[in-house]
Amino acid sequence: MKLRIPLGSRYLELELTLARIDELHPHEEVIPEHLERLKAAFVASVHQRNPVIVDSRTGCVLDGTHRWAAMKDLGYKWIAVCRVDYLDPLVELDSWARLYRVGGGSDVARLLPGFELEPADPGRVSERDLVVAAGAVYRVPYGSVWEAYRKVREIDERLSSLLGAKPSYVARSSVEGASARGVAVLPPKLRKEEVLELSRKGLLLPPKSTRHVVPARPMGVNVPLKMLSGDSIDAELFEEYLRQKRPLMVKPPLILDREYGEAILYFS
Amino acid sequence: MAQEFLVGFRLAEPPRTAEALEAALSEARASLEALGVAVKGWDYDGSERLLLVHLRAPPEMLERAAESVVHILSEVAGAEAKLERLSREVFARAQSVIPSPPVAGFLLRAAGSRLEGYPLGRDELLALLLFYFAGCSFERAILAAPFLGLDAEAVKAALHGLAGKGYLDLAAGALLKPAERLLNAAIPALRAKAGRAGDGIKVVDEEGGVETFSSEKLAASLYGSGTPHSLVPAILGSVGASLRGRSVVSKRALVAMVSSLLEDLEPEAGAGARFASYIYALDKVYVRAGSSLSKLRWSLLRGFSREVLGERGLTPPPRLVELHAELVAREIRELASSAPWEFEGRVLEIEEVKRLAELAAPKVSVAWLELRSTGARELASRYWSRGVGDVRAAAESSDCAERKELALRGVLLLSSALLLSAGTLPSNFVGVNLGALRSRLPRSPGELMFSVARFCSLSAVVARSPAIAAPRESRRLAKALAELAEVAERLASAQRL
Repeated sequence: MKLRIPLGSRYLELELTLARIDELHPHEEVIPEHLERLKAAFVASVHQRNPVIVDSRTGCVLDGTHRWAAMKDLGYKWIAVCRVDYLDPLVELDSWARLYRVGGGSDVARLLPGFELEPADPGRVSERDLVVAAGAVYRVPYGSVWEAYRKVREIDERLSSLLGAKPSYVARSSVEGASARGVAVLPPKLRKEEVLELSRKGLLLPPKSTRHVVPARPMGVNVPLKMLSGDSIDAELFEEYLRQKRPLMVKPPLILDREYGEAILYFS
Repeated sequence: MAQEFLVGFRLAEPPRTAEALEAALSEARASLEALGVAVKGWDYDGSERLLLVHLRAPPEMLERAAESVVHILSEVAGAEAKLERLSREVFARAQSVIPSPPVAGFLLRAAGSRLEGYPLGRDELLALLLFYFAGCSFERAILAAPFLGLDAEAVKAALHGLAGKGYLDLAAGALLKPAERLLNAAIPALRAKAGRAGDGIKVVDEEGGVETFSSEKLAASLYGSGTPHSLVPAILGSVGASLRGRSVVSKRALVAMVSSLLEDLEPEAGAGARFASYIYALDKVYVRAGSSLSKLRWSLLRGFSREVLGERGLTPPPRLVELHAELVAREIRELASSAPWEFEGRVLEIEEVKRLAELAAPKVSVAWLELRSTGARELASRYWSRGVGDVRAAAESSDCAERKELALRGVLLLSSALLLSAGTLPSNFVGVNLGALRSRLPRSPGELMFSVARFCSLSAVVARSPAIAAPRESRRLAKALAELAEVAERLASAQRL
């Protein structure tokens, strides 16, 4: 089903359809515990509640990697997807900054020995820089974005183990200045083409690397899992199944399992 | 002004069963009506234990409605729930994308027809209908299009074309005069019209009784006699064709005509004999009360109906008695004609007939059932507040079919409440209730009589208004509803409801 979502004077085109699970490919790794939780939830459920958001040209999974991986592991052949043109400027790409709370002062050089850290002027840091900030700001040099994100993973592992806590994640674009009471890790902002290229090569970014904001998304579609388990699907039947839904347009923000800043087409 | 919201409730534990949750939401739907709050849908996400309820409510009623839902979830489903913050204002604003099912059905049918003979092309007329029924919202029309099998891009182009031709003002979300004129003509023409061949012809029975032929009654008799459903349309069509040009037909001729058609169409089923046996079944039924045996006549049946319907201490209106007696007669016919080849005569004990009459009573008057556990005054008050809520919600609904449904239910509840407070048993039918109210008019004091008379005529306007309304019809209904709310207020103070 092709949907056109009016957004002011522009339109976002979405296609709600079924895709062969093998024809999609992720761009991020999964978090094993989260994957196991989701698999258990799918076993107990009769529906795929929310469609996975994928790029209509390449089949790259933009949002819903864990759902895709869980269903793939459980042997489903098909998955409900919402196809979107990733290169449409309405689809935004940001990265997730990591914020670690640290009691007292924090010396980045002491926390991250062995990492090349270049002191930087906060006003001259670009969104393509990998930055670690804790009172003072440091740039971590890198060759390619792939290398940058490998360094992000190493820093994450190091800080999590040292501080005994997981970070909280916030949109990089919303982080202002350096935190005096903690450590902020700001991964470089990726370009969409880079995400697609890495995904095509099978080079997976660490979990919570990209933050995609699709300005409207369908939720609560509740596609029966029995429709997705066979070798073949009846596309017309699926389309007719969707047509009997009575969706609601919910204005942002909507807080469900997390806060959604986009308009939600809720298929109640 | 009522608006739509999505309201979230986090359940402490998963509900015992899905049915318990369904029952609780159904109870909430009925209970919130009295507050003028409509439960339009709900969805439960088991993994998050999050219940999302779609409400249409005046914003100032939301807190109360939410408290009510929490209470009902606990009482009915045994599920402790707490209101969840879904947006910064707690309640998330929402808007239905798709019009109500009758409107969506009308659009689906329109999309499947050729739509010729109009000054606009097919795509443009469809887009215009969609825009109008989407509350003149361009955004809703575009979003709804694929759910109605229409291409959103084509609808968008057509709407821009219509704006260019002076039919629409897209920026203001309004129809312009040419569009209104066109819709006033096109919508009534596109509404379905049932072919009622033969209706209006007099049927004279063996005893000289006269009634008017009705396809519905004939269809009901065919179904009741066990005629295969697939044959019914063919029989109705043939009988209609045979009666064309006649003003009167005897019952015997009619039964013979149908029996022979059935024998032609289904010779091996004995359907013709079964039908005749069904129609004349009552002639062969006797009722035993103690040592006396009487033939089952309509007067006897009406007597049973009056007795059973009057058990709650309220007078049943004559039309309600008639409807009830017909239902009981249908039950007895089915019982008596179940094996026509063995059937010569059947004796029913009076208790058996009374049992059938009691079973049939809620089908014509649900109040009869409710009065078993509730007093008439309390029930009248409950009906009144729900009815006022429905009329209020109807007046604020932007979907014409939903507005009609709410209005009709409101009128049914209000008329039922008025009848209850006047010592009369209400029925499940607006027409019967209004007839009963009108018959009481001469006995009412002046001011009250005027208000009840006005209530009846406004209710009749509401009841007869089409669900799929053209702009002109929609305005007429809105006006009637506004006045109905005023009259209801006057009646409430006069009747102390």
